[in-house]
Parts: sequence; C-alpha cells; structure tokens
Amino acid sequence: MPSKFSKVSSSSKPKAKYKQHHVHEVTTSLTEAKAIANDLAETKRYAYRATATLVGNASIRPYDPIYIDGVPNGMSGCWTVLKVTHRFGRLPANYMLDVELGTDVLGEENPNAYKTVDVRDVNAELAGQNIAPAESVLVDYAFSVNDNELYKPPIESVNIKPRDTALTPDEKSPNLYQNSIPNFSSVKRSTAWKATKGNKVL
Amino acid sequence: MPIDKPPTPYSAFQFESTASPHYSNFSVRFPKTPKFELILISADLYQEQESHDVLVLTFKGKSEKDDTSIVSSDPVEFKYSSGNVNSVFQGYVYQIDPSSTVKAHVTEIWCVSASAVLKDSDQVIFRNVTADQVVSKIAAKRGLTAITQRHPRLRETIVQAGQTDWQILRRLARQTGFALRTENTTVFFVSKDKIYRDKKSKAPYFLYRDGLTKEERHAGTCFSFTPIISDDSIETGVRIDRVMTGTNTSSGNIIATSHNAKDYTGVESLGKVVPSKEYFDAI
Repeated sequence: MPSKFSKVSSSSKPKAKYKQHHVHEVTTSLTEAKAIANDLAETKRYAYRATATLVGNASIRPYDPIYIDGVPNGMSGCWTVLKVTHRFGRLPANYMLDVELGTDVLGEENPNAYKTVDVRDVNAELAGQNIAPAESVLVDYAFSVNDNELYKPPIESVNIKPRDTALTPDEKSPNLYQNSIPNFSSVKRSTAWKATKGNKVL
Repeated sequence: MPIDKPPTPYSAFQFESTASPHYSNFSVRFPKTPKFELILISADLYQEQESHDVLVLTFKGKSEKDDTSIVSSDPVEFKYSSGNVNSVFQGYVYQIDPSSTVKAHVTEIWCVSASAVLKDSDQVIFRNVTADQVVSKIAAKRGLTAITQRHPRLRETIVQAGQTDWQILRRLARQTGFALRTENTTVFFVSKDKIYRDKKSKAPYFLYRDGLTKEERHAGTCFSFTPIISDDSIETGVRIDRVMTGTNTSSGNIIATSHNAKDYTGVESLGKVVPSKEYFDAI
C-alpha cells in the first residue's frame, strides 16, 4: 500500500516498489509528529566527538558538561561527557579520568570559566528540581542461617557413594537437621540496596 | 659507582599533594564480609550513558579463609574523593576472578551498580501514560527512586512484553531523546538540556597545556585531548536508516516525498527495504 504522504498514487504507475515498509511510529496529529521529530533530533546529538584524559574529579558523570581550555584549533569550550572511566591507583596520577566527549557546536568559550567553583544549587533544591541522587540503604541483611555463625553439623561426616540416595534418613545418610534445626527466620532471599526518601525506605 | 637517581614517584605530582585541591582517595567495603583482608591496589569505575555503572577492583593476593571470602551478589560500597568532592558507588559483586601470573597473585572483582536489579523482566501494559511516568513506576517497583522530567507526549499504550525493565527504559530514552543514567539506587530520566543548563555554570574546569615533554604536558589538568575525525557522523551517518517524511518547520505542512523512478521490469527479485538492524534493535 503506498504511503499517504507520498506523491505516488494508487492509480498511476508506482515509481518505486517496496515489499516491506518498517514504520516505527505512526501518528495522525501534527503536534505529535513534531514531538516525535524533536525527540529523534534529540537522540542524534553530539556530532563532534573527542576523547581526553583528565585529572581525577569525583563529581563527573555521563551527560555532565565540563569546560576544557587551551585546546588548539578552536576546540576549547564546553563539552558534554558521554562516557567516563574513573581510574584509581595507576600512573601517572593516583586518580585519572578517561572521557569520551561530545558537543553540538565548537568554540563555545567562556573567558571566566576558570573561576568556576563547586557550589550547591540551592534554588533547585528548594524547588524540588534537584538532580542529585537519593541516599541508599542496605536491606534484607543476614550472614547465615544461624545468626552470624557458620552452621556446624552435630554428627560426623560419613562416606556416601554417589549411587546412594539421601531421600530417606538412614545410618549412612542421616537427617542433618534432626537435632539442630537452623533458624531460618533470619534468612532473607537477597541483600539489596534500596533507595530512601527521608527516613523511609522506598 | 654512581647511583642512578630513583624515578620520581607519582605522588610527587602537584595534584597528589594532600594540600592540593586535586588530592584524591579511594576505599572499598564489603558489608557482608567485614573481615575482608586483601589490599586494594587499583580500581576502574566505568560510567556510560544508558548503561549501568561497572566497577572493577584489583586486589593483591587471593582470599583463602572462609570468613574473608566473598561471593557473587554480595553488596559492595566504594568511596572515592577528589579535593572536597566525595562520591560513592553502591552495588553488588558480579564476578570474582583470581588470577596468577609470574609476577603476582591478584584478584579482580567485577561489580555492578545497585540499579542492576532492573535486569528482571515483566509483562505489563501501561495505558495513558507519558514516558517519565513509566520510568517512575518501574523504578518504584524495584525499590529505586527516579528523578524524571515531564515528557509532553501522552501515549495510549506502552507495552512491556517480556523485556527487562532496563530494556524498556532504554527504549523510552531513545524514543524521547532523554538522558538515561543511573547512580546507585537513583534512575535519572531528564532532558539532556536540563542537565546541561543546571550544571553548565559550575562545570569543572580543565586546562590543556601543550608541550614537548611529559612534564610540560602534565602541568595542566587535561593530559591529552584527541578529536575523533571520521567521515561517518557517529549518530547521523550510521544509525539512522532513512527519512520517510517530515514536517516543514516554517509552514507546519507535512512534506511530501517522492522516490526516483526506477524500472524494475525484468528483475527477478524486487528487493525490499531492510532497515539497519542495529538501529531498530536498539529502539
């Protein structure tokens, strides 16, 4: 079936033939079409790319802007970090960053960039629009079935041949838990980090 | 016989001094194994857009006692700092790789961030939602918190048909163009411009110093800078398949498209339009 947006009409001879059309998103509204186009344009950003090795900075994350000064060929300016590897305990510095950078335009220079200091964004915090991560807490925490102690079977081990079945307790394969039942109440399925909001675990 | 001057230790660099604003430190803790005794000699923390953080710890020696051994899925906490900035990585042990070479016994421990719980799959149909609402719901389901920005497009349905939660989040990020990243138990789903605007005024400053010797180049805080030069535009040349239609930005009209006439008469196979597999798999 020819596309409604094409000049190819069903009555005239088709100008091109396709056996399959792979249409990813369909919309009937112009507003939504614009939104989809904007979103796709947003996906295809950062045409200019570079890699760099920097001195360590624990605040840098992907998508963060950084300012690089002194680079030749007009490439000084603000760059967006697309990928960062924090390297510790290596030479020539104890803490270094390997970054992949991207930008839409080159030469966005700021002569006062070197004066930048890390400050809290108080306005964003008050407005509830702060993009700082939440605190985390460890939950479902347990060492072992017997409250921080390794379980010791009350009987001596016996030699069991691989062919022997251990389904029925007998002399060769006794029920290890008959006289000492482990405390399964403290056993949790997993240990997990959970986000917190105030004092509440989410 | 003269003795060669020993090589200058790297701690002699200006930014390694405790008085320097670039002084750095790092340490690791395994909450489930407080008696862990191996010595941490190096660490690499990988952070990438639309990916979970991965931490690779390298320890000297191998653990041989039961009460000092760790296993996969054990929690791990890695703290690092530079100057006055402190950061923390919280996650789980993923793989333990003890290896021996002629020179030394080392143990590599691979860890994934706490957001890795999003690997679980589900079958859900979200109705009348925006992309950011789906992200918030999925994060809450896994005990994570989400920092999102309202996306203007309301969708009738968003279907998760057996994919993992992370695959859904990545799909939404690539459809909306929003930034998707995680940090410990927080999922960020906001526009790239919001992050840029919020952080641009206090963006970290690095100085590149060109020079013939290593010492001259290391006088700056940017040791190397290499532009990626290629005929292929990474985003627009490789991944995009083809433009079927679009809208005229000035008039708002839908642009009609036409294809060059090509005579397929006599051709046994008419062929078919096969989009780039990589592009559509990613979406």
